[in-house]
Amino acid sequence: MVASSGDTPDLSVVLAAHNEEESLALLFDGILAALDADFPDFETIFVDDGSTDGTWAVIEALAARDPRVVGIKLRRNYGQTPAMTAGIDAARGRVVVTMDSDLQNDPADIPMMVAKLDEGYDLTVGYRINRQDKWLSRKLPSKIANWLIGKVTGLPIRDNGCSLKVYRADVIKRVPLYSDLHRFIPSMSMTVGVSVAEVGVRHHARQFGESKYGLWRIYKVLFDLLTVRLLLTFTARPLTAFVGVSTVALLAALGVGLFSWSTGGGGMVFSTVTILLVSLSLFLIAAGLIAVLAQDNIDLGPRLMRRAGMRRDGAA
Amino acid sequence: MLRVASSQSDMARTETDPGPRLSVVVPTFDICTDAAAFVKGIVSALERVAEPAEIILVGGTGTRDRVAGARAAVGEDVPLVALETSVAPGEEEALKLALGRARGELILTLPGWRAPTSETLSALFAGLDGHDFVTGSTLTPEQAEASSWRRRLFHWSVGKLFGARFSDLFCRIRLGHREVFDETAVLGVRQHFIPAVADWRGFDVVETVLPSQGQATGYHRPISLTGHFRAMVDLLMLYVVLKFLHRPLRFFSAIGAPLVLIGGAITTYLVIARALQLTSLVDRPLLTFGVLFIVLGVQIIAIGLIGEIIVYTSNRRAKTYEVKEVLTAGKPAPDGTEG
Repeated sequence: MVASSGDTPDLSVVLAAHNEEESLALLFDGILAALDADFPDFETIFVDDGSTDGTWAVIEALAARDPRVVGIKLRRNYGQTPAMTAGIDAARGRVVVTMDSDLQNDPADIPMMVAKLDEGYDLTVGYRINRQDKWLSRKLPSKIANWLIGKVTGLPIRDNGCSLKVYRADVIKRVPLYSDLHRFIPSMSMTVGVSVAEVGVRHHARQFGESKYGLWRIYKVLFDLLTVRLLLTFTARPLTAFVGVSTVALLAALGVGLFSWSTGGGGMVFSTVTILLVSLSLFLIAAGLIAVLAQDNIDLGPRLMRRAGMRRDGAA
Repeated sequence: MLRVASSQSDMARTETDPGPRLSVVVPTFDICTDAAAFVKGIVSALERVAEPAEIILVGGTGTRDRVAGARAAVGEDVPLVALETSVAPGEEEALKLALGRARGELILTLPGWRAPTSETLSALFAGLDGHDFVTGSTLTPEQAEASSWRRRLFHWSVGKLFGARFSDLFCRIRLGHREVFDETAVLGVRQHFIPAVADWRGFDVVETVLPSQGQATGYHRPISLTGHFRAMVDLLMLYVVLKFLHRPLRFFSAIGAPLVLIGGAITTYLVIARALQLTSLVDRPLLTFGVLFIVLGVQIIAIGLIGEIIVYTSNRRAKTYEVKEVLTAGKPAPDGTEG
């Protein structure tokens, strides 16, 4: 069990909220019911991500009701990753819990996840059992995305979209988070070297409001995935990535040239295509060199030294 | 309950409360033709409104001499500060320079070609009450509606891109808390966009109609068609930079990925058609277009990837959010501040 000392709470529960005025009081009641017995010294950090409804007023009321509530109001709607980062930056506990504020995650799962963390992991990730979402628009894209993320990052997390996660604070505070990378926290954690456990958690249907996600997120996820892959694999040696693709272009140019030659000359079309592919190859080498120059001027800090160990446990 | 880091503060100046310190900044002092009369005008206009901690005048060669001349005219007790650069600075550069020197909690920016009246400044200070930033307008909403199509197009575009409606972003009289300027003007953005950028970044920005409306010489200068065009280009650039500052690959891939897909589709179609002996590739310029699209797309995505590496390495723990208010219950605030 994580122990408390002095002014540092056992746990910091971080909740990013955007227009969730109906949910927050119920959610906090759930957190109290789940944590009061085992972790009475916890803090709940509500981050109001530029809500236009009464979310901040609800947070003020909760803060007035319970001294363990911290409210952070952001200047505008920044999105889930910056909001979550604001909460994580403010967290004082040695263990940080993140979860959705729309009542779809169940706070009752937190003690079980913390217990799993206490077995020696740096990060416990939830995966939703009996997920209460539409199959075609939510579950299917999610399954494909999780499979793809696992393949690309080498960390086969079953449910990257589940926000209920428990971290050691010293680990999560070192993970670089920007853009929409909250979906890839386990993968990004690999940059600081972590051990990850995966546990099944409950999931409830949304009670209030509408989902903030649409199918547009698939496009975003795809390119974020490309970014994560690049960052995980090639940040330390970007030239390798660019030269790899450059080689492919050069081989393609060679292939077209040989085909043209073997068929007795392809005239302007094949010559032009060959030149284009060679120029692409040269451009990519130049791009790789620029990436190295950009990176060499910056202190990269600690890099990934070991791949994440992982164990998967089921049962909610 | 403790409230920390609230952006609001009391702007009203009373007999007992001198109010926050004010820095007056004139980034276009080079344009001023009669320095002594101009400075006298500023001092006179401020007399009944606020007491400035400093009046910073920025210009190129000769600024110090001109300010010294003005000081002789207005008296030694007026806190004039001359910032002289070796070459005439641009307006944005001059503003950045002045902000680096300014000590006030409130910043008032003025144009260099016309001193404000005390009514103008009173309206501006009244407009700031309870807000973070106020920008002046020499046009009423009705006059703005009836203004030239170029002007209306510019303000409409600002509204569409940044979600804030202004009627006179060309007016140079503005007043705001220091943090607003620190987080907008330091970006080096064209000074016209400061109110829009401030609003976009979550500050409470208002526009107030100044009593100078209808006068022949306002607080902005006439702008040519070319000037409007440049402003529109800058606006688009600014939008792209601000929106994709932390996610460059999103922007570049939005252009590059469709090119790759189109190029890939064309090339695949031609290769399949060739394999089925339906067409010859030798005399098909379409193949060139297909490959050209792929090459362009890959190049654009590669630039985005370089951008991501730069963001990740230089900016990865930089704050991607701005806190407006923190609520705690008697404990020290998480950011270390105590209210």
